[in-house]
Amino acid sequence: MQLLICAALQFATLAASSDDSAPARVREIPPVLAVEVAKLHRALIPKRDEPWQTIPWQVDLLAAREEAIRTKRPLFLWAMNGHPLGCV
Amino acid sequence: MLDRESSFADAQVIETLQKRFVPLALDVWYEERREDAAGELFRKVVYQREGLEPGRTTQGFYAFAPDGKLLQGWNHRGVDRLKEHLKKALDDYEPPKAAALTGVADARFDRTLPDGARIVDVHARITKADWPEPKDGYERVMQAATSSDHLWIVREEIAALGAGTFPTSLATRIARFHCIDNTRGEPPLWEIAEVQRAEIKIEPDPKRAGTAGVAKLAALSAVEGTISLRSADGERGYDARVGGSVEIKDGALTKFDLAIRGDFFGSGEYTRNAPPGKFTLAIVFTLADAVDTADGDQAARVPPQGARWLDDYLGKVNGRQ
Repeated sequence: MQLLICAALQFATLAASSDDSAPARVREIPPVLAVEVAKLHRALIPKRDEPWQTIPWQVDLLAAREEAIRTKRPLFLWAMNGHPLGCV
Repeated sequence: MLDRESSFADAQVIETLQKRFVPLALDVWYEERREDAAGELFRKVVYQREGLEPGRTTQGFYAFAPDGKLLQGWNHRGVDRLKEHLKKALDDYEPPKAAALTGVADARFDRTLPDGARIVDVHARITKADWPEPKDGYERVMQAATSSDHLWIVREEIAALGAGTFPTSLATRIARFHCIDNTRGEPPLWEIAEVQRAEIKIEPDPKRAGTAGVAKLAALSAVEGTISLRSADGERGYDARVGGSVEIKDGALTKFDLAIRGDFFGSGEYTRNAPPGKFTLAIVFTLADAVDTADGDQAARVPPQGARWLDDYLGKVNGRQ
């Protein structure tokens, strides 16, 4: 009897998986409630005092050049495809 | 991301850049294209780097003099190498005589914040995934990385939020340009046809309606929505829900705290090594601090990644031109 039930279940499974017209089962995405919004904000928003943020980055090449002339310092350029201070 | 958490987290590097250089960060996409004094100076500097041929990426690190003379140029990571290059650049540095560069800036690449618009900080992170065991420290950082970008909300959209409507233009912009996995690099953005659903609604809080009778209170609204995205080839997708709240006071946007969380799958040419299968991608939005956006924080002036195609980003045209 158990074998018969197993065979019937296997057949049913095969039949279901071979039915291309059946809609794919999509996981229902649960809503984002206020508690989760607050939790994600705490976890993902960086603190304002990360070490790289203490470097006085300029974002305008000509303005930086003017400062380099005025202060008699060389320029250091960090160049990326996608802005290094944003994007990624 | 890796550089922020490795090379530019080193105390000696930070002090050297703070005191002995003028540090500058640029997106090469703009500088390679612009036809003006800034673009000419950029190209003059980078193409002095050994082995850099036109057509290859100009990404990297450059120490140079204001006259455009390259002192050091390299494109590999590692804090020890960085220190070595900085030291070499400073050795025997003689400030050159250099005149001011004049001329009209190439307006095609002007990314000034539109009048009346607000900047929103956007951060994304993969919060749940079947990652393989990281092979090294860099991979470990990458798997836990949080991205940064900016969203621009224009004046008309702020007015719509104040009137109790989440504008379609803003919902579409969020879906196409900010529902992206940019935790490992520069990701592909979504085309209009790839947006299957971008529905975001706001529901005014009756206790904080901001009507004349309670004018002292800002109008607070709850935000709820659903976003569904699929690439044309079906290899990349995101199904997510939106939650949060927005607040308008005296016609000004005073709060824009949103979170989007859902199932993402797939990767892009420059964002390879995504987790296998579906993974949870969370994205948060919050107004950039008013102090930051004045002029103290230069990072706040960085335009949204999607604003490379400005008219498309702002919804003025359909698709990238």
